[in-house]
Amino acid sequence: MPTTDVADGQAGWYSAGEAKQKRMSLPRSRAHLEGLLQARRLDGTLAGRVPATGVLSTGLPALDTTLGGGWPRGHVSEIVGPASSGRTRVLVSTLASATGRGDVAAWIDTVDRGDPAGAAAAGVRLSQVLWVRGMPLSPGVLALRPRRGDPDLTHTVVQRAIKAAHLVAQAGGFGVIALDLCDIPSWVLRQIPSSTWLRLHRAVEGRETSLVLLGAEPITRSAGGVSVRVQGRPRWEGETARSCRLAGMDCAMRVVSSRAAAGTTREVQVALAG
Amino acid sequence: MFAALHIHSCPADLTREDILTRLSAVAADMTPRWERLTARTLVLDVSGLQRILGGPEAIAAAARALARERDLEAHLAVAPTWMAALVLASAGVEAIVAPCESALALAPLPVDALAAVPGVDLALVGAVRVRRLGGARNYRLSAGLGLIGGPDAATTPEPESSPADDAPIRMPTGRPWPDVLATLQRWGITTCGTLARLPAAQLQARLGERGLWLQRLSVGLDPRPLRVQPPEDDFSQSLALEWPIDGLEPLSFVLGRVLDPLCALLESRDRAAALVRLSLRLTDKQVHVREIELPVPVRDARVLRTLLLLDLEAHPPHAAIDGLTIAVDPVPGRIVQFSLLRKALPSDDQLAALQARLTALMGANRCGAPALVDSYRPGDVAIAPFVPSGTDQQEGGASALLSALGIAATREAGGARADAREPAREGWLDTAGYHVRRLRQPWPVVVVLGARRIPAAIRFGVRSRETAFRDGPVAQAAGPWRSSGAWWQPSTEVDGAWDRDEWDIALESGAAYRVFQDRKTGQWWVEGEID
Repeated sequence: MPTTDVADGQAGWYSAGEAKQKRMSLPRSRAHLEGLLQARRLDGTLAGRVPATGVLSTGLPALDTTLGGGWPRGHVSEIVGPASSGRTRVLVSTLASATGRGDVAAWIDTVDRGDPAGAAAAGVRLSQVLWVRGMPLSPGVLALRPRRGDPDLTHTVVQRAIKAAHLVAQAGGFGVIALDLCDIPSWVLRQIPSSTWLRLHRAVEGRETSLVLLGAEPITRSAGGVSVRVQGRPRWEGETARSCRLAGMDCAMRVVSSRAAAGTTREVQVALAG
Repeated sequence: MFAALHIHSCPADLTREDILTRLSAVAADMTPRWERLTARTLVLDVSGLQRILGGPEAIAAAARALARERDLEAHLAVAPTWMAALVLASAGVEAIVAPCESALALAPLPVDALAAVPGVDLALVGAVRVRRLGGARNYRLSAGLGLIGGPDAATTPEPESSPADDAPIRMPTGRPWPDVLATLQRWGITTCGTLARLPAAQLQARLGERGLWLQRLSVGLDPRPLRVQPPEDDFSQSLALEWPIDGLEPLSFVLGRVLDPLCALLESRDRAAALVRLSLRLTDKQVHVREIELPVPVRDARVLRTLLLLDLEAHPPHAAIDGLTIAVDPVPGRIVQFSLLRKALPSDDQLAALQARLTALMGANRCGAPALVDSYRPGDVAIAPFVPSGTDQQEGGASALLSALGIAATREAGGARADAREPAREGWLDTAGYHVRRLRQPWPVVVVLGARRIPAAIRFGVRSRETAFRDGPVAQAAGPWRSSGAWWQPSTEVDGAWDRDEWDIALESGAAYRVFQDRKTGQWWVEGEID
């Protein structure tokens, strides 16, 4: 049966006996394969390859402990959670931590929902943040599903935001890039080809930049990145109706995947308060 | 052939800088080879102008006319040497001196006319000076020759002169000039002609180098070649195209061809571009002009090309391009000193290019540093230029090192973080542990009120399960918080009056929102999602 000699990288023909011999030398072939993947910069998915470019604190000590220090630099990570779960507050806390340590941050605000006053209140140094504001889309526009052939405004806005994140990542020098895709419907995100995300992974690979995606559902993360799933509820204070006020969020965060923190606690409870 | 221009009259309101500027303009209009010797005198090399303007008389007339155009009245002399022309013009003699007749032209002039040469101080302004220089002997000599001015001369202040006026010519060292002049006067040497006829060796033996040097000047010999004023560089490049270009991609290569030598010139002069002016000559004979003000001085051809292309993407020419000219406003180049104790930030060039790309992608005023506005209006925000290397975050010394290393164990590092949180304690900003995802344009909603007019249910009118805004009963509500302002403005304007009651509500589904009711209209709006 004709077979291709993958290990040597050349097409060739050999007999059944030779094929058996090839199977015997499987570890060597695997090393060759890994070498070939490494040469083509496709080794990010290999098991056992741990990022070594450092971490970026999330600003939440409990979450940092769970993640083994914070967001891995040089990788794409994501914060996932439903509406009003405290996911944006976690992102803002990361921005505050990064800018407080002298890093420069970029905030790609896809549909312009950012609140700089709230961010400043959380400790973000606004002068260290590059705020890229997308087109402000109303809930009605976001809910529209265009008919076949019609221009899709939401898709265009998302593509621009991803391109902006790519430009910032290519420019280099940023400690953290936050890409906010919270309000984007999942069917729009599913239309984005995987190669787009792969290019984004490549753009931050090997750099001291953490790219953090914010979304309602898992979108993408690089092999060395982490996904933090946030579940939270508002916390109210006050005994009576007149004295009642919103005091913060009670969040439960679960690390979905992290190679660096293998073996550590995977779930953490955080109370976000002022 | 040289011409000297000496300003003897000008409008009284002109400052010294104005005179210099106008004088330089006159010289630059005549020839690129000229040198300014004093604030009112300059010398031009007019050797090649005969072919253009005609003879020396025509050249002199042209220079005089140019000076008059600028409200300057000048004495002008043309001579084979620039020294002769200078002395003649400074003495008020308007002459055209033929070749080899410099000494003859200068002969009738008094010796102190040589004081026109910068650095030669032959004017004795009073006994004070003589006493200071030479003591009793010089005073006696000078007084005997009657060279000291009248009683008021001693109190007349010496006119202010800048060092640039005094030292364009290197002087030989030796006896003081008044002493030299006094000796000459004692010998009966009063004119340049008689000085020129003195035997050089004896003159040098008695008066030293200065005497000999003065004799050379008296016959019009140049002490040194003319030092041509360095021309003001023209930082512009043009290119005429053989075939019209229609599209930005081919234009990119053309821009590269023009910008590369331009940036090389900037670098050689230690200059950088503060403003780039691109003029595209179009096939319909119109000129498409774009100006880009750079946030920082740039002389990197790649960065400039990127910025120009991005600007042209947003403002493309309406016709094909026949030729282009790029001119820049030069400023001194930047000196950037990096620090070992601070984190490496993106360079200013990179940031300029990045922001230009982002502006082209997202639109104008859509990227920058967020800035707080001094206003109580909820959600008010502004965009400031993104300059992360500003001074506000520049921390030096140990705290910067600790911050860079991520160590916050000391009081200094902790203090820096406390400062960073300072804005949170000011004004109305709350420090709650949540973030409001604001809708820039509030979305109208229907709120069902329950007992005591507390929101009981909300309906967004959005028929999709994909958005964060879903209808439902209200589980918890806090409010109302009344907010109002700008009552003096009509509420229809964007920054107009507002008067509303705000509520924070949480639905049974877990979602939380900030809603408000306009007190004037009674309409309910959702301001954002609490997250």
